[in-house]
Amino acid sequence: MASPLIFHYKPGQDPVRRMPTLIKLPLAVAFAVWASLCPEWGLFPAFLAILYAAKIARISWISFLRLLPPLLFLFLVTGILPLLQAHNFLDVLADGLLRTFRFGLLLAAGHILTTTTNPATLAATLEKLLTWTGPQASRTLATMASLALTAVPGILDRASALREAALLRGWNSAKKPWILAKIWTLPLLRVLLERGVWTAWSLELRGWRSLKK
Amino acid sequence: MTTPVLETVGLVHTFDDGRRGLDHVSISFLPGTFNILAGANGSGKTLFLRHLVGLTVPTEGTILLNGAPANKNWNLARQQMGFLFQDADAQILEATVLEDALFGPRHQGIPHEKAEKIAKESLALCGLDHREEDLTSLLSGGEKRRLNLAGVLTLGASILLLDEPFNGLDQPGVEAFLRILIDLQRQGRTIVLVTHDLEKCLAHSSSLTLWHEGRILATGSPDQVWDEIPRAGVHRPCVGRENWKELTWLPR
Ligand SMILES: Nc1ncnc2c1ncn2[C@@H]1O[C@H](COP(=O)(O)OP(=O)(O)O)[C@@H](O)[C@H]1O
Ligand SMILES: [Mg+2]
Repeated sequence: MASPLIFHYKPGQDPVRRMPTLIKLPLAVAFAVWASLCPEWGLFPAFLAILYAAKIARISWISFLRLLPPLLFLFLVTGILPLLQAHNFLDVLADGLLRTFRFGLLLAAGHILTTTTNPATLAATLEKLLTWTGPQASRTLATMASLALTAVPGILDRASALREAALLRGWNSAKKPWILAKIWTLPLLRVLLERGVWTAWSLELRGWRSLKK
Repeated sequence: MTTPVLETVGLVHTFDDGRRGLDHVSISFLPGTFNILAGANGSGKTLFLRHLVGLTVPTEGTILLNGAPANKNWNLARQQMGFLFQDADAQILEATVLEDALFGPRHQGIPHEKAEKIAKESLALCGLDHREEDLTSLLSGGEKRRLNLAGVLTLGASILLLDEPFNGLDQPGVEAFLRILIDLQRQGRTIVLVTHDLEKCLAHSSSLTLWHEGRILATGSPDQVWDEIPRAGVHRPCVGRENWKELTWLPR
């Protein structure tokens, strides 16, 4: 079975690649936590997030096929084998599918992370993040907090503007509330990504050391 | 006398903290005219436009659309008034250009083939017919603006409300956008355009309205209100009052 985390970095200039590893890695970790633990409805935005990240990073759809073997294996273990002794077939099947889907999201996120990040930088960042001590750790926390703080108001503004734009173009909010999920996910993710890049740059300009050197 | 297509009567908006966002704004727009609203940041121009399409509810006053109160049927009113937000990105709802233009017709329940025809016509009007399959996130600032415009045109808007549409556009971007606006006006649409950049478009205007702290400071033809421009916190172009017809970014 091929390791989905095999390094296959491809350089480029899109926002996913330009985003500093120090931001991207924790984002990926946060995504992984979300994809593993979120309620079922949360899988939809997570899936869209993956599609979107892959799209702007121009990762070929075919390259995702390499994730299939481990997924099929997992589905066999969690979805098919238990069927042999189960009474409630459908429940077991659904449960297995859901688990496989969550795991698939993790693999896809790993695939995107490793395709868009220089392996040397990734390794160094990982190491730094894991061994970080005292003041530096709090500085990282502060960075993350300031990223969240600068991004959140922008995201809320954008969310309300998108909702209004849809209303003005004839969307019926009572009849089709789910349209919101569709029109929000990608643009809001984009705002978050862009804020991430800008925050990191502005921090760097103010003398904060990133891990590049 | 022609009846105005759009008119506000004594529009007041009081915020929760008691401040007045709009203070008895009465103004009317005649059909087929090109109206410019100018004023300092925070003078209430965006707030005014939001009232016109019912995104914000006035504390007092009424909005008349073709002589009838607009709040009787906001759905209908919103089809007639196309509102372009200050932030072009905030109005793009779909991943590709054609999909975005289809959003309006689709949600009006128009059958697919007809919806597509309408969307494609609007895109063509806005010079985006060759970009239908492109990702909206890859459009330039000017193209995003034109996509916003195409989106509201699909609803059949006869009044266009534009909030600082030239912001961030380069010369070709302003030129392309202005050309489309003038075409649309020739076809009979009414334009209400908020801007600080009188240099870019004043020549095409039928009226100029100056705003100050939620009130209308002056309204009339550009030469009539010329002297008041600086008081509204707007840069007065460095030409003589009688030469306002030279103020455009379209090449002559
Ligand atoms: N919720 C609010 N409470 C108090 N004041 C507000 C609120 N929302 C907006 N304002 C104020 O209303 C004024 C009008 O804003 P706006 O219409 O955006 O101005 P413009 O578009 O002319 O730059 C601004 O001074 C703004 O600070
Ligand atoms: Mg404004």
